[in-house]
Amino acid sequence: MNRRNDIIYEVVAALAAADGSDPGSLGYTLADYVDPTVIERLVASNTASELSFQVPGHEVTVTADAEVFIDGVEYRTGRQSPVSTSERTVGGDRETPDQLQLQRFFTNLPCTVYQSRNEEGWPIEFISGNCHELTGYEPNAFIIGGINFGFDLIHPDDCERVNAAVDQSIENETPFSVMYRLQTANSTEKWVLEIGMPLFDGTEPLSIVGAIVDLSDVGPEQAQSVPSPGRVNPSR
Amino acid sequence: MMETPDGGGVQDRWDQLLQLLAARPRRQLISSLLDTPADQRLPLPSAAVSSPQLGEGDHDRIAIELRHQHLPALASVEYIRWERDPFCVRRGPRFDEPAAVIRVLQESADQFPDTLARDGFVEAHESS
Repeated sequence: MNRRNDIIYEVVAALAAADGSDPGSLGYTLADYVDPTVIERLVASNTASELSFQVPGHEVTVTADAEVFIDGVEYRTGRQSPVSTSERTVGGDRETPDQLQLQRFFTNLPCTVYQSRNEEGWPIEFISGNCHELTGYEPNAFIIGGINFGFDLIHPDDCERVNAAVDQSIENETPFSVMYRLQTANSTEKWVLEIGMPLFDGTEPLSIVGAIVDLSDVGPEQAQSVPSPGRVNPSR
Repeated sequence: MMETPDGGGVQDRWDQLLQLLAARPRRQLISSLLDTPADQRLPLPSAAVSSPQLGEGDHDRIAIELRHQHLPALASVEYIRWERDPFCVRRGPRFDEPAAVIRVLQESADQFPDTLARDGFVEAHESS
């Protein structure tokens, strides 16, 4: 099956099954409640993301693996399975208590944590759910929505400095810290402090992991006193 | 950034256009409307899938996909207009954008490599 082309039918069929009707008799158009091209992009992406939205009488969740959940119950063509959304990860496996605890931990951190590919613009592979408070974007905006952290969020006047800090970090195989202005979804500017480090596969720098702290309440001058991670944690 | 006469970004328009043409029923709809007088409505789902081999079940399925997926996507950027009853489609105010691309592709079909066989793009097109 071509998941990208078939996923909308699967969602409609799942909703019809939940209502005990046939797909042709759904009383509304799915596109009134969600942009169908967003679902197409989701299932075309090689990520562990999911999208949830409301339609009349139901909550729908679609994962990047083309799994469809109606009110927390998984639907597969022709049948429903008893696996509920609260028992699984976005990739479809059951979520362990440890994973749930880790997700809560990330969400409650006073910073946004991420992992990005070491490519131009640093495409995001994972970002904690609280990124919305910092950036105005939901995690899926970075993972499947086409928002690029480097190109869309870092202030153009600060890009060169951020690039230099990351490049030096990769060259020296040490952590980096850099302050810069971040442009949020509603076009406001925030000073942030980013602390990160490259992850290597042998000598190849594959990813960057790190944390971003909002300095809005601190101010860039006071933030200058923050010690560099090289001094705090000199070893990797 | 380059802008269109109505203030939109040209780059965004291209990204949007190519994304919307990344589904065969949507390409087929634009192709069918190209072969039709500008103000004429075309019945659905046949305007999106003209293959005579399709059975009734296939038509039911494509009708659902059109209604919930392809037609709203194309209509959201004004490439087309569509109606539920009777189920039909016609050109929208920005039809010229996808039409120009589909037309160029149709006229260049003989230059496609075998790996991009024409019938994977849209249904066979008699006039090219």
